[in-house]
Amino acid sequence: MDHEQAIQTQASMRYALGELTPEERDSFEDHFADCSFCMDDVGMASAFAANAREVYRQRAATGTPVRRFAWLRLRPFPTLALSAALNVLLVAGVGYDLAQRRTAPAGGVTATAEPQTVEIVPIQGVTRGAGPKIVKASRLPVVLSADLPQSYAHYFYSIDRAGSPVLSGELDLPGGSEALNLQIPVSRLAPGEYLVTLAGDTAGGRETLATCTLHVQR
Amino acid sequence: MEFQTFDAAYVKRLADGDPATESHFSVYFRKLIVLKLRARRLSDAMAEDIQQETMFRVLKALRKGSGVSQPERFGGFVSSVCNHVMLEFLQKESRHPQLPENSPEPADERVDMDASLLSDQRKQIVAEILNGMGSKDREILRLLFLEERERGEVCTKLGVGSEYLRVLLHRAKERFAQAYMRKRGVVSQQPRTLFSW
Repeated sequence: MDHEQAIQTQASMRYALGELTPEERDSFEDHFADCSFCMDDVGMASAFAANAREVYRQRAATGTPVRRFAWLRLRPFPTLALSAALNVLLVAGVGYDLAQRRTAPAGGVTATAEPQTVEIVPIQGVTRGAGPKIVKASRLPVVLSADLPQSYAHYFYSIDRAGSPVLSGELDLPGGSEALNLQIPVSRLAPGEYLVTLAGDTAGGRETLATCTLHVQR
Repeated sequence: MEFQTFDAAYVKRLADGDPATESHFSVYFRKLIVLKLRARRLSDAMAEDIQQETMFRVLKALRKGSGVSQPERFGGFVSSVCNHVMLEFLQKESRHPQLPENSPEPADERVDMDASLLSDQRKQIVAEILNGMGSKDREILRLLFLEERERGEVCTKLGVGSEYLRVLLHRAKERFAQAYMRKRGVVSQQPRTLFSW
């Protein structure tokens, strides 16, 4: 079973419910042993199943009724609204640099005065085999997004031009994040070619997580 | 796309006895082994023995044996070793005499396996999610999780399609994941989260 099949067939929840055949189970285990995303998904599905079972068991034992009007507190919302909410969170959390009219501290980002769209570009990890991705930008902010196969103690970025550092610093990332999203203040960069590197620290040293070539044009 | 956890450098550090890597190895594969045992409804009491034996054999293979031919599939290698260890343990168990017919049924040891996944916080989150559902959806999940009915039976009994069930389970799991990470103070920029044990 590959990753796509696992996602499409909801393998993690079916695994947690014991619905996979022995062959499917072994195949899925062989996959998620090496896939941290599916490993975590299995953990979440198993936790949900176990705790749901316990909640139902306790309610049956005590005759606890469902709390009425609980929907007033919990408002499940449709997928589209959830997606929109997450995009707003991304916009507010990342911030925007209107550097045409203000100067940002080196290595930092500033909050924008008004919401605006932003381009989100996924960039590949260095283990994926391909060379650095080429990202073209003009003035609007660009957010580079790199998957995080594991957590790191510290996260760093550097933006170099012709081998010399232009911007660099440490990033503050919430624990448990599965992606590192870095906003590039494109308007602060002169036209030209830059190498953007994302790295993470472990006990074993600093590892490069992802790189890309940024072409700034005017 | 896969979120690969292992590579040649990791395997080498583990073979060389790097403490941080050994610690990660122990924690990561403890999770894997517990999930595998739970899926096979084996007792938590076996988990420690199987984990220890699996770790021992893997490290022995790395340090004194032929090593791992595909480091990026190291997780699969460990899982395979675990399967062999589990089989040996089960074969040992099966050599014990059969219980008499009228003896009391052994306790559902799967409850013990669930214990490591239970917490008051998680139960509260699940309870809130269930309270926010309609009665039909709650009944669907009750039949699946508590009574362990087959999906087809649940669909027929409650007059819903398999796609409805699939979406219901997916949304419930995702809501649980998001609520759980919020409680941990993590703001997730994606619907998926990392699960901490």
